Amino acid sequence: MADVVFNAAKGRLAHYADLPGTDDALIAVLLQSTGLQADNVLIDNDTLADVLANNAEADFTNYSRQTLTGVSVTVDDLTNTVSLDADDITWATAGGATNNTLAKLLICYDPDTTGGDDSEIIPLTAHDVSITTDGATIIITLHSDGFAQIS
Amino acid sequence: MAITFIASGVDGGNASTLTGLTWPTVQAGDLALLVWTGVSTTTWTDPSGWTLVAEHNGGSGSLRSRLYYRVCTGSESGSITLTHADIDRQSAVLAVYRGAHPTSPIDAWADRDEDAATDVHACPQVTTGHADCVIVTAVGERVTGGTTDYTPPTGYTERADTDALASGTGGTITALADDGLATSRPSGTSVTPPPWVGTVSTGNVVTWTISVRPDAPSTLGPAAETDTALPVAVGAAPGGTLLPKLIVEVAFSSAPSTISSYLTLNDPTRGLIGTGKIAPDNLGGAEVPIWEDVSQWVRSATIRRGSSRIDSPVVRYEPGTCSVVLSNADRRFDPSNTDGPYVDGSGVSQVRPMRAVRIRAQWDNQIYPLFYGYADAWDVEWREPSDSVCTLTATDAFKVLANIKRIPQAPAGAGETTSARINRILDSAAWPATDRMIGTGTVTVQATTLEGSALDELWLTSDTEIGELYVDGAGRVRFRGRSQITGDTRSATSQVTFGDGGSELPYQGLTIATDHETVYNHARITRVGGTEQTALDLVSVTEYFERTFERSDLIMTTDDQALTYAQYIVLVAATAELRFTQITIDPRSAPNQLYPQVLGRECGDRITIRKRPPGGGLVERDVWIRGVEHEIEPERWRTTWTLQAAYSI
Repeated sequence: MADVVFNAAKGRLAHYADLPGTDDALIAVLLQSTGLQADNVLIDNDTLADVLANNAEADFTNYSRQTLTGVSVTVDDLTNTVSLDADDITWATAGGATNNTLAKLLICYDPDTTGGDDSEIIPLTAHDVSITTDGATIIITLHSDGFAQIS
Repeated sequence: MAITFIASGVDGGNASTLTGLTWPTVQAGDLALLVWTGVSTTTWTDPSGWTLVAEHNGGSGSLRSRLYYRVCTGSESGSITLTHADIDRQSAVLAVYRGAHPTSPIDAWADRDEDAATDVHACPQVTTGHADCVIVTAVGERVTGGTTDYTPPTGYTERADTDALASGTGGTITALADDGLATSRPSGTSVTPPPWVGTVSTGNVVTWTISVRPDAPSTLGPAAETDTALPVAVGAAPGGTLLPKLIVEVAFSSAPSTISSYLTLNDPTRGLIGTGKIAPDNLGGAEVPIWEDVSQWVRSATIRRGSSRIDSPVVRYEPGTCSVVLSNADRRFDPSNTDGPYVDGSGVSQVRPMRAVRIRAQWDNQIYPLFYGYADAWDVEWREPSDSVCTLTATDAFKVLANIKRIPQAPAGAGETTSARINRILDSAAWPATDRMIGTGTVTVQATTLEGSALDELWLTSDTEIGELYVDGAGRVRFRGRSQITGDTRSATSQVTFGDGGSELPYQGLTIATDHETVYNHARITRVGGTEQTALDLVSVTEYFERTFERSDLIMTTDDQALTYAQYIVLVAATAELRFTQITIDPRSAPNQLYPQVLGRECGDRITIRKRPPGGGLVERDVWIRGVEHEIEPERWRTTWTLQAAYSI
């Protein structure tokens, strides 16, 4: 288990995080631990539809995919890196009636938030999480350097 | 890096010494090739600073040809002196290239002796040892009335030709050409340059083929980009927070004191009616508060209590310590600042050693005591131009008890239990009754004069019991007897299970050991004034060699108790097995479940750990917590417990 970049997104992280489209966005998707693919298999999926054909998306009470806010791409000429960051992600009152044990947070690029389907959504990164919902609020705190870094 | 041609030169004549070759302008690292042709019957002197690649004596015509190279330093100038012992018609060519490998420029070479009279002289074949080597070829001929002008191999560029400079009787000619320097070829390519063509037919000819290695591959390497997904922290948090509230307080105004004489509600020793008085703080009066809350200036904190390593069945807990980094930009924690907020009415700073320090954490409306001790030092660090920090270090009650060196008294207490002895020692050190929780000892001890260090005698008494002596997070000296450390509910029954499956509480890191450090199969115990008692596990000795546990300073009253002690040691320590020695927990990963654990667990608590190793299977062990460490920074909390394999008696 690790934090990984999907193969289809390698080399294009900064492009997608720059939100080049008109109605595009980065979205957060949670995967359940049950049936989760190994990291080196998970990263082979090219679209969110592929991911969800092989893994189980969260379905706890009050779950919905979250649109990331405060998405930024920062070029650091001092460290020669590019950092991709966003605001922390919250699922309020997560679970209760239906609960999940969660194992991965995906950050994906949705090229058209007004339409389309999961086959058009490109998974960018997958991050380890370990939590079982119980009705409490879930807060995903991103790393101080962002959710991904390019060097 | 591509190889380029820089310059060339020629010299020839009927002389013993040639000096007509002069250095062109060269740079450090340039490669110079020298091909020198003459008669083989005289002595040749190697030119200074050159490396001889090979010498070839022709099969006829008394022909000799030499090939030299030199990696230039950049300071070369003037003429190149070529000397024979006798006068003969000699000739030489010089060629300088840039971009060759600076230490191993000659990749491969071959020479060929022309043994049939012809004016077409084939070149030998070389096989390149590196990619994109440049091919240089040279020819040397010695024959009266011989060639006076060579035609270079087809497709090759002639760089130097001595033409008729050394023609005549026994005349020689030397020429050099290269492949144009633009041919890309992989390593392992066999190259045979086309033949040199002279103007007369002769068999007195030597040809050379040289593969020159470039400095670096001429093909571009890939530009690497590394895309890294960074970890995230996740939690289910009341009120949206992932960290407890840390409360750090110092009793600046109370002089050296345990501050335990005030009533503390719900405290097992300080909350009893009749044991304390109402504290003067928090009443809104004019009195100076006991505890000054310095939490808002805390930048980071580290707390350590208990043991950091367990390698004996007799556990000894170390003094607990804390280190708190405080913002000191306004000099409030500077002991030399008499204008600060912690100055008494006489203008004296109370930022002093031995002031009581307590650290607590509040999570989900519950307060957990984490540390209670006494300041060791206030180390101020100035960070120019405008920042300053003060690192407060403190140690718990063990420090106070270790510093008390008692005067011997008349022997007393013979036959009392270890728990009574612990109380007697604490009384002798004037340690308050509200600052201790003494359990039940099972071993009786010899009389004591209560001399010397209180802590040393406390430890000896606890060791004699095989008990547990530590200072808890609230600053109380706690003692549990032998039967309690295995029989109390919190030690006999697992309180919580951590694991790497979905059903247990998660942990961040786990340290295992499979060594022999905790194995003891032979115990030799001698009480003071008694006879040695031994216990031996022969099966274990056969398995692990003998490992002896020995004590001769214990103070039990009878040899039977010493024998029981020895048998206890061997019983619990004769077997080695995989054990968990440390577990690290990041409570932010499941705050509601983990913070009550990391904040509330105490030394001696029994927990279960499950590990599913790669390759399958399950390793499950019950362990006792023997040490607690909290590392607290902004947005980060990490707790590490030192563990001891749990056993049953």
